[in-house]
Amino acid sequence: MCNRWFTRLVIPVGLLVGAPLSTLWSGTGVSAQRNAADRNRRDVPRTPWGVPDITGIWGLGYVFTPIERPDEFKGKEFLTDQEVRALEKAQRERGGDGTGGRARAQRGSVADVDGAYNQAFSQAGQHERVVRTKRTSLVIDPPDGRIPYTPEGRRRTRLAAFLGGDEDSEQQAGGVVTQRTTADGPEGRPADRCIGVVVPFVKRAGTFHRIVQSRHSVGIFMEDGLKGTAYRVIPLDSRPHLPSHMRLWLGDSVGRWEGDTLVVDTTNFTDKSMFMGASDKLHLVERFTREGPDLLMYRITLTDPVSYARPWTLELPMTLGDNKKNQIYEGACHEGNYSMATILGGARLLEREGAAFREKQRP
Amino acid sequence: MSRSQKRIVVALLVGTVVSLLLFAGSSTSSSQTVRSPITRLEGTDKPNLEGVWQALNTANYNIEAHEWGASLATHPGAPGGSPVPAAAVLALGAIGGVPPGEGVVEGELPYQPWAVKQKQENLANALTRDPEVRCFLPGVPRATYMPYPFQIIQSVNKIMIVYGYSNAGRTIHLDSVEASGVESWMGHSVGKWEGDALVVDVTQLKEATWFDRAGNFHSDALHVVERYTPITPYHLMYEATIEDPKVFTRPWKMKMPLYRRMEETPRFMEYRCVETVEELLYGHLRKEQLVRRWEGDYGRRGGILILEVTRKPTARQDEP
Repeated sequence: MCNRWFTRLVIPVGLLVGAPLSTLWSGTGVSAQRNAADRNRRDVPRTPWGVPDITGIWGLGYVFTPIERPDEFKGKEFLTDQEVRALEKAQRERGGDGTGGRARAQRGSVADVDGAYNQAFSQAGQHERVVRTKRTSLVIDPPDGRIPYTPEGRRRTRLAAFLGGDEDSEQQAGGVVTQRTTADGPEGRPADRCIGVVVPFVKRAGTFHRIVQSRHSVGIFMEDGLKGTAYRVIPLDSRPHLPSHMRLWLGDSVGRWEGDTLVVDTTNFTDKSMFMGASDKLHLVERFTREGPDLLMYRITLTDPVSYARPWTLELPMTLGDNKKNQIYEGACHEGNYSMATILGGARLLEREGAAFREKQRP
Repeated sequence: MSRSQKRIVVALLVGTVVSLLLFAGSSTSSSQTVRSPITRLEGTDKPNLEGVWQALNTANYNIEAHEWGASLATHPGAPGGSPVPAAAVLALGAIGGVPPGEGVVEGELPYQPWAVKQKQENLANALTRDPEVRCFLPGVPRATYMPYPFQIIQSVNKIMIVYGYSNAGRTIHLDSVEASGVESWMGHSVGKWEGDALVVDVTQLKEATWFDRAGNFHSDALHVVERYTPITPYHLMYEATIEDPKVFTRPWKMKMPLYRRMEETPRFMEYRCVETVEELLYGHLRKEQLVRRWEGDYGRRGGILILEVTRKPTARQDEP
């Protein structure tokens, strides 16, 4: 399970960035900017205690909108409907044959089967679409749609890409880096360790949040096919954060309702998760706003003086999943992680065989 | 009687009648038991189970009554002596001991004859076979009485339980959802209210989990029905009825109180044991062996203890 994304890599964004699609972007600018501060909406269900009810399965869906705005779309924040259709059509045509845009492997080979599996799982090129806000990037601030990295932030991003620890950082580092990991021990393979999901959870395809809320706390189950899952609990009171020497993969979250928006403040991150180059000085402010019957707008503002020159904000429009179908699953990534032992064991075997070969070659 | 005295008598009479009426009302308002002053989910008539809870017992060591033990892994003692800690845990001393407990099972565990032998074998090999040692998800009901707090988050139609151990948790559906049809470590939980008790039917559980560190086990036919009954604002009575016709001769029941954590700001805290067991699970496959030797100086009583670690591959393929 843990390796099903291995061959998927970073195809969708590569396509959007790399494809000569500039011609599609010649339409007039879109001014239909959504206003988040739409308070006391009547079409939003509420809990018995009066706040918007955000309980449910929420997912970004299979989108191929990149985190950062590609150069082709410079100065353009939104797409027209026509542009969205054209982009999605192009994406289908590129990936719809089951190859994710690459030459299909020999029929019946392991690579071919792997490709089909990843294709089915990621839905690359099939149902992928532009994010429903029609934005050209998930970054909405700064206005240029780019992450305001410091030099240290860039260095950390490249490091994360080298270790394969963060798919989005890979894209930042400029493409696919094969053989980026080591097989000396589990630490050299962060993507195979099944440590669990980290916060913020901004994977874009096939990942889901299940939110359950009560008066004094909100629970979020985050499901990711790659790194397993995590449960996150956000107390809704004004308690202070944990002492600063405590460093957690999920950070320490405290939330509150500001009008109809759930605002979550998170600190105490570990240095190890390296989300988009972030350091342990990362300070997150997340805003969850139910903007419609099936729309939960999730905005994340990241502040980190080590890695970012200024705060920046991601916007992820999450769509309500079908409660009855209940399609969100236990990860149990670690429990089923046979890959780590076979990867490390295989590397040791190669080393032994190589040593034996060299021994034979000796005069 | 003066007018003021009369007033007092009338007031007392009225007061008595009112309290009698109130008392009668409260005793007839629930069909079987007098309702305890438990908190209700705001805007509903359901109990509010929200909060951080924890079992305070030794059931995770052994759900059955058990005396104290030297360790989770023992070595035969000297002639006439008790078993002593095995090499693997010797250095832990009393910290590695097994605390005694009265058990949480009603009566004896009704194992089928073959299963008694299996349980004994599990116990003898608990250190290498207990899923908890590997940081695997604990399943239900074990998650409830592991030595970690757990948090209940209660919405109207969903109740989420987040356990302090690993990435364990589950959602209890009070509304109608489709079951995945696929077994999982924490199962599929469907809940309903019976009076003030939350009754949870748990199915689709994997065979791989155990009930405790003593090797008590089940099969993939496991079916658990849990009851969470609030008895005060600070206590839940937890009961779990266990059905598994492949392993047991009849259903059996465990029961224990759960205690509300009363700190000012109790909280769920992350414990990602996956990282902590990597050396145990993959240490033999590292390019360079990391953990090789341990040496501890205990002074005159104890002297110097040296533990050497040798890692090698195995041919065994029977792990879950």
